[in-house]
Amino acid sequence: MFEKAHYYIEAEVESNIMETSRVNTLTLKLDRFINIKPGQFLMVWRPGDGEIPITPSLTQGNTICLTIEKVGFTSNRLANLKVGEKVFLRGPYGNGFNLEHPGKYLLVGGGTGAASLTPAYLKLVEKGVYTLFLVGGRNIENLVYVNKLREIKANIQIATDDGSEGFHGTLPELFKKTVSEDFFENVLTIGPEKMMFKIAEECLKRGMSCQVSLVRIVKCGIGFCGSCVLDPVGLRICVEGPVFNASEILGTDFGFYMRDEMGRRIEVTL
Amino acid sequence: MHPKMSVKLAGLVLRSPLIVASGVLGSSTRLIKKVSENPSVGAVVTKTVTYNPRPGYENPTAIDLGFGFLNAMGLPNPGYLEYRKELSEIKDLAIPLIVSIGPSNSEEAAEMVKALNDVSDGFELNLSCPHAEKLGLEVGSDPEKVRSIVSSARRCTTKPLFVKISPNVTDVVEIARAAVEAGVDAVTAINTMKSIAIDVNAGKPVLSNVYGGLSGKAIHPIAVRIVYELYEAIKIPIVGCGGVYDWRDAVELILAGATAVQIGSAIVYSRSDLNILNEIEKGIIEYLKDKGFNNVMEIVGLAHTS
Repeated sequence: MFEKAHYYIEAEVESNIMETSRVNTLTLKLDRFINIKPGQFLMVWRPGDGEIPITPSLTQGNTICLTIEKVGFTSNRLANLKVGEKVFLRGPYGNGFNLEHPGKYLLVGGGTGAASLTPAYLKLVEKGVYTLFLVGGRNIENLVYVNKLREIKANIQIATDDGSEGFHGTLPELFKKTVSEDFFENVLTIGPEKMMFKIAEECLKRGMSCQVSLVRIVKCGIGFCGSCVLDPVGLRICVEGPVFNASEILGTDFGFYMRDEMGRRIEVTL
Repeated sequence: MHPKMSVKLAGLVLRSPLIVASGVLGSSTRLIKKVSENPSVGAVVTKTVTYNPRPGYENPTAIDLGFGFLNAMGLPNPGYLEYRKELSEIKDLAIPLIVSIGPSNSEEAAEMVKALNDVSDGFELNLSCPHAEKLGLEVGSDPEKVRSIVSSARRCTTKPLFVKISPNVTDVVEIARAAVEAGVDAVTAINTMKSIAIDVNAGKPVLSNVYGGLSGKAIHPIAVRIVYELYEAIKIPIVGCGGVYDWRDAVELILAGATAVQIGSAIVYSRSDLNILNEIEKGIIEYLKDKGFNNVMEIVGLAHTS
């Protein structure tokens, strides 16, 4: 309780790769090793630029990757960092995925979700668990992390809304069409909330276990400010989440409402 | 409820002197309900609402220093009218719900108290937040402003009125006296200590607001000192708040003069496991038994010689 060696972990940008026009992947060298479970997140800070939660897209010793979509001021600044520049990390926070469930795994990653699910994929493959990875984007230009996944020879299937690569349609459509009722026991998903909601509903219908990683406005990151609470169940993304069992959150604000910076309930649009 | 633990405070009868402090858990109605179901909790204070909606500050807004938290959330809240809707959804709470409001002047205080009067069991005026412009400490360090805000709130409610004061003033007694003269029922002491943390690698202050409020273990002796001073100076009940982690910390504040004790940071440190409140209550009961007291109110202010 009284340990305070550092406030933040210092990290230096080793490379910055453009994934799409809106998404970049930073490779960072950390000043010390931290053990990050797949699905946990870090708070990433640049003095003057703000601090946001990010689930790493790769963790390997003291090296991690962060795949960042430019959505606001802070993410834009972080995504445009140059080699040699510094960022500061605290965490890891949250629960991460439970990869101990027996059976085969299906991963469903939309947009940058494909990147955030990659550590879980690698862990499952390392454990010798059969895993299929569905990756989706609006079109071929908006697919994230596919090159990386091909490089590691991942077992992937691609869906694009306009059919410019792989299956012509959305990830839930690909899921319904190609995944037989009883082949996979477990589903993990990260991506746009409306997409995850459809996957979660389908899993519940089929009796499959489904773990969903939620995104909300995270402020304190340590559980007291209430900014990231999922109502009406009162689950905090930063402490009890960000990963929830679909059965635990279907019927809540999941898929419909979140809170804005002032704590007002607003509709989930994506 | 344990008979040794029931206390009377500002017209309220609490089943326990342990109160969940403002800004911790009391942010969503569901969390308030969850907290109220713990038998060791005597009352809950909501997060502070203000007249206008506030987005709060940019991140970083909080950091764990190990011996306490430093935060400058900037009082993010949807504004009192929106929050009223949320509070009105809370039904059949087993314990009093104290609504924390952060007015910047007497007009705002009057309007907020009027609007929230039927959805609350009492009010805590936050005149002590050290990191919000034109609110909190900025009004709470001026005895005249304290007097005018408290009088205005007093005129609009017969429900218990608390004022939460700041340690960041030269003379806390002067501020507390102004509040007492204006009709407040109890004083909550203390809010956080104005502080700064600098990350040595980044070479910059961590909080985007630079200044924040320090809570937790580090400020406990300051809280004890201020409760002690107030007990000698004012005749109304005091609610002790600041770094209560275990039953000893709570008893210390009570011996210094607190009728009830608020708990915040320790709940966050226990990852919001409310068992910590049960542990604290158990410890206080044991202490009272050991020392031969029938009720916790018998030890309020016992550390004073006179």
